Amino acid sequence: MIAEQPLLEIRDLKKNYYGTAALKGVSLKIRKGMILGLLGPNGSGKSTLLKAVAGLVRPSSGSIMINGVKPSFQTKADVAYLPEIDHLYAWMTVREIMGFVAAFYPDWEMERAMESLRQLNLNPGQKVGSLSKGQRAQLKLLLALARRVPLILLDEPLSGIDPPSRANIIQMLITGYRDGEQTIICSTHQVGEMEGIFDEVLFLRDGEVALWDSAEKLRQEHGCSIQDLWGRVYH
Amino acid sequence: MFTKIFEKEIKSLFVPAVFVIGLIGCWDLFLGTRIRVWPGQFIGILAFLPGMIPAIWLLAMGFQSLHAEWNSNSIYLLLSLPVRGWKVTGAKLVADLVSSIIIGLVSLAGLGILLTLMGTKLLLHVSAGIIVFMACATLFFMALVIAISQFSFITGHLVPKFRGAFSLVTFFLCLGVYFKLTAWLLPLLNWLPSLEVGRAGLPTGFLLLELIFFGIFFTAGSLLFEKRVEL
Repeated sequence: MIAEQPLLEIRDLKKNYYGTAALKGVSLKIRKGMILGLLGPNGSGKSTLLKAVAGLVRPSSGSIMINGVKPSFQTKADVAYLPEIDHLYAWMTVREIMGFVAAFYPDWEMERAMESLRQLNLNPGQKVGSLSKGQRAQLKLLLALARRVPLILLDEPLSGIDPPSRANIIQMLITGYRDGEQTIICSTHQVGEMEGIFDEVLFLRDGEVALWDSAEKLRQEHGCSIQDLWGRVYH
Repeated sequence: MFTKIFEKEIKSLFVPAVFVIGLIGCWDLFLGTRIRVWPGQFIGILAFLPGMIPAIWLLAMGFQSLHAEWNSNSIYLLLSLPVRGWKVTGAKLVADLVSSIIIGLVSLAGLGILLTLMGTKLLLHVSAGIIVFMACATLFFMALVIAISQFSFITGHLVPKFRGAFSLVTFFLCLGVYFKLTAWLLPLLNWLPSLEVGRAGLPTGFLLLELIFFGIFFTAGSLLFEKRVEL
């Protein structure tokens, strides 16, 4: 029997920024069709890990394989990356930014994107720069979820967002996620709000994997929620 | 994909380009009202001033089109796209070139109208061959300057500190290398057929060198953008 190739395989990944180690030998195997919660305090290496998988950061050593291929401009077609910061052109309208992004991805589903846009009550003619922070965060997520892409990387999708918008974003994730078809790796500090959607949880500490298992197993073994477990892992 | 990025670049340059063209138009209009008031030579000198604008625009936009991506964090979006680096730098280069040419033509047209109104006749003895040669040499040099600007800017982003200063030094160094090597290599290309215009022979080797250096800097900048830039 041939073992199924993992969607994402990371081996002993190290990353140094001008002498400072951001990742100190992370090894992971992520299968297709799950949501992984990537947890850790600031500076634990979450964003660097996501950027490395997205191909925006080069590993100092170790390897990353997405569907058996090293990150390159080609693997970017198989990855939807949502950074924590606002990265959309403020001068474009919502319609223009959707058209711009759609042009690069054959897996883009315009009908699905337009439906999400209606649900979010976003005006397609509105400039991205004039949207509220919560609306921009929802638009960013819409751009990621409108693609039939195998790997979605979300870096702090709830960061700096008000509670109603956070609830909208989580709802978008639940409804937009194609179970069994896609894998989402989502870093967050809002553990309590998001832990319900995580299949697996990975705690990073100082650039190393501190704990990694299925969310259900962790809850059972430690007899507490993932949010409470956070306190135990980092204190 | 190239055209989509090019379209985006043109849209982002549209408002500043229209503003600059408007300024040139206003300047020429103002000088037009002074023709019978101020001395002809003085107006003639002032009429040539907008000629500097396309050069300044070209230099500024070579850096600015990339700087704006970092400044607005849209570089995250650009680098996430499944496209080769040369398509991004190429689309930016062509957009900068097109906008510079349009601004250059507008300033030339303004100058021509002013000089005509003043009764001055220029370019009477310039042959079409020389005009074509000069147009090619200028176009290739413009492309080369943008490619060097892009290469310098990207190189600056590979160092942790003093990125602006590093970019600027790299830019002037590259330009210096180009001038030095062109002066050295040009005599070696004398065997190339020259463009015969009247009694003069225009060196096609010069155009070839411009294209070769453009190719080198553009390729280097594009490869650095695709393979070395990190966020």
